[in-house]
Amino acid sequence: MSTESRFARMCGSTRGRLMVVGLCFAMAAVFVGVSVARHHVGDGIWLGAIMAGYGLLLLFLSGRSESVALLASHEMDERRRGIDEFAAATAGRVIAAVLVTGFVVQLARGADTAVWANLCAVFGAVYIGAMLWGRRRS
Amino acid sequence: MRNDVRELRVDKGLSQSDLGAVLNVSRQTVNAIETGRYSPSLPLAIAIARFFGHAVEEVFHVD
Repeated sequence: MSTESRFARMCGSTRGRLMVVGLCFAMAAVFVGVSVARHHVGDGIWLGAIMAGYGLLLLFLSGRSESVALLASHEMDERRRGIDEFAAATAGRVIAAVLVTGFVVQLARGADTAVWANLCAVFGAVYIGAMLWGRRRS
Repeated sequence: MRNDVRELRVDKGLSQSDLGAVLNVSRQTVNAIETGRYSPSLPLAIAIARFFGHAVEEVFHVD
């Protein structure tokens, strides 16, 4: 058995997981900061606690559950990357449908469509950019 | 895709975690390959076959 490969795998997985958990705690701090700035301390504490709790869940359960490991980017291999890409693509398709529906509904109401139109434009531009980048890579 | 990974692994006295550590994949991925739920990429299939000292087509069988 290769000790080096196991060591490399542990380093990589720990770094990925700690980055995700660190992001959760950073988001918790942002939620608290924004809520305190708006004088809604109670909301900030709740939102921060939920986000920090989610981070702790990822930290302690990613070794026990593969679903949690995927959320925490823990021990990512080719199969887990494939699952992650499938989930991201599915979420992206649903978001695209929601954005287009929102734009059409606002248009039908005769309301301002700028926000929806801008979000649709950003989504389309990112998709086209990513597609062109992917074509160059493969 | 049918394969002989489970038989080869058991013959070597390895657990799924042990094989996963050698191949740099998770235990669940080894299980998914053994049960045929996941077809590995060509590099991973070659790594598996080399680890057991076989050719790829001797380990993985296209039905």
